[in-house]
Amino acid sequence: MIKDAINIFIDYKDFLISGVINTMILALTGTIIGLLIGLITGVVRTTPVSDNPVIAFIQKLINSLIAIYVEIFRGTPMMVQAMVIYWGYAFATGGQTLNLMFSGIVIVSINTGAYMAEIVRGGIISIDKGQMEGALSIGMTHAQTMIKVILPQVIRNILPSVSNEFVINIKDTSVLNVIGVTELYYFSGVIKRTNFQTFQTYLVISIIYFALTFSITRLLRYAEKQLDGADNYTIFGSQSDPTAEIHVKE
Amino acid sequence: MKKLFTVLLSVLMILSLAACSSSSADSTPAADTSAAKISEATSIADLSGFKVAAQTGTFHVDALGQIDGVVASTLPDFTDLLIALKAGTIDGYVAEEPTALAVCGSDPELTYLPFVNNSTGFTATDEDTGVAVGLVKGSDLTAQINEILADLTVDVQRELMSEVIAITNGETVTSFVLESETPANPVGVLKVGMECAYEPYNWTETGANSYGCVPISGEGKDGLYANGFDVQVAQYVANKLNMSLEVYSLEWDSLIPAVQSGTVDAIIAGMSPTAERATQIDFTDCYYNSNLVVIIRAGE
Repeated sequence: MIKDAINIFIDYKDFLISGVINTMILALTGTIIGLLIGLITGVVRTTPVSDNPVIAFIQKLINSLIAIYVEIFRGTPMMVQAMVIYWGYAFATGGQTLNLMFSGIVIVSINTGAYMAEIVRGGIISIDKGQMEGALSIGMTHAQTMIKVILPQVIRNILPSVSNEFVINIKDTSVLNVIGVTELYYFSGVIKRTNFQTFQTYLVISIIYFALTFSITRLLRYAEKQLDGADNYTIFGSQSDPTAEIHVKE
Repeated sequence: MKKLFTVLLSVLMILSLAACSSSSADSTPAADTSAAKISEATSIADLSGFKVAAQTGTFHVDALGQIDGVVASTLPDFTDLLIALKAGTIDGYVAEEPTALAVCGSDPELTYLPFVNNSTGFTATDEDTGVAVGLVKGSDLTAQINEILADLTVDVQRELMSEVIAITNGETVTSFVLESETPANPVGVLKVGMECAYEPYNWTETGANSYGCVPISGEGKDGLYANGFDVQVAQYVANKLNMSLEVYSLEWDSLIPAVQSGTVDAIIAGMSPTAERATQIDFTDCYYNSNLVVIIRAGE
């Protein structure tokens, strides 16, 4: 049994490697684009409603469009979305098909974006209101406050959720095999139908998936630690103390 | 302390896994001794009481309904059926005779019950168990392909199938009964969709390993080749149409949308021209017809 598994690694290494590369491209670009979608929609949705009735109407319209997007893509399985988008395009264009990797990246991105929108929104509303009020009271605009004060903290706070999404994406890209995207799981199908060693093939594939997700979570944990900085100092001083400075504990 | 706990937990889990596997191994023979042996079944009526499965969405599922008292189940993929049979979850599964020959020929642990349709076996029409080329509704290729398929007499079909099965059983084949000249100046491309996952009709090879195999077209499919009965029929049809052949590997459920949308020109995928499918696409005449049999574990 173990010998079979090792042989699968050796015999099909070219396919396994290209599967890993495609899976990682899909998961990485999907997560990054998804995070950007999430940041943009999160900021838009938490912007206070303008006093100008025209702008307020446009804001409401955009907010409801975002809500529709989030609900639809969060509420339908990615496998179903893949079939609908891929074959929908083929029917609409009389047999033309989308580039497979491109459609894969689009599907993963908009899916992740829908989840990220909620994650970022949660991150923004979790930041103490006083910070926003304080920044506005010293004359910063809403955009400045967001970029310089709120978002840096949001990104640090949502990093665990983002790495969660990344890990989920590494695994969930496997559903894209329904449209024939040659990611890692696709090749497990190819291999098991060639050697009829279904169990051994899935064992090998699961080892590869675990190696990918485990190393990624460790890397992101390390990144979190780096963002936190050293933990042996505290900031002293306040508004009443004009000589606020950082004291390093010995 | 925490570490000790972790180690203890993992040992427990491994032990429970081992317990599961041994208990299921014990229960299998017990279940079999209560009834007659499945290998002694001479007609499908003898399968009563056994656990027999079929592939989801095929005529095989309907066929299972013809057996009184059988414990029927369905599984989505042909490799799922195989692993379920080997693991002892089921006692047998319905398959077409060529599939049974291909599977059992390369695996000594398996054998099959050679039922004959409409006598000892399942009641089935040609539409149920034959396989035909699927084309978009109203296609003018239907008549042309029917003319070409007339060359495939029953003898040619049987001969080609046995050659193809020989490949699946690891023998070296250097010629097919169905040979045709590749056109020197092909007009257009015949795009053919199949699963490339249904031995011996069509399968995937991870290299140009067998005689007559065709590279699979499409993004990211470099290094993958298709061969099988369907591939040889597709090659013959394309040659006779003076077209070059492209084979696309598609999921079973994607085949009909692919031909409807025009992504591929034809389905040659061991697909039976059932009435339900015929409402969606057109079919040519059948290019092969086989008995439905039941694959079982050898020595039971």
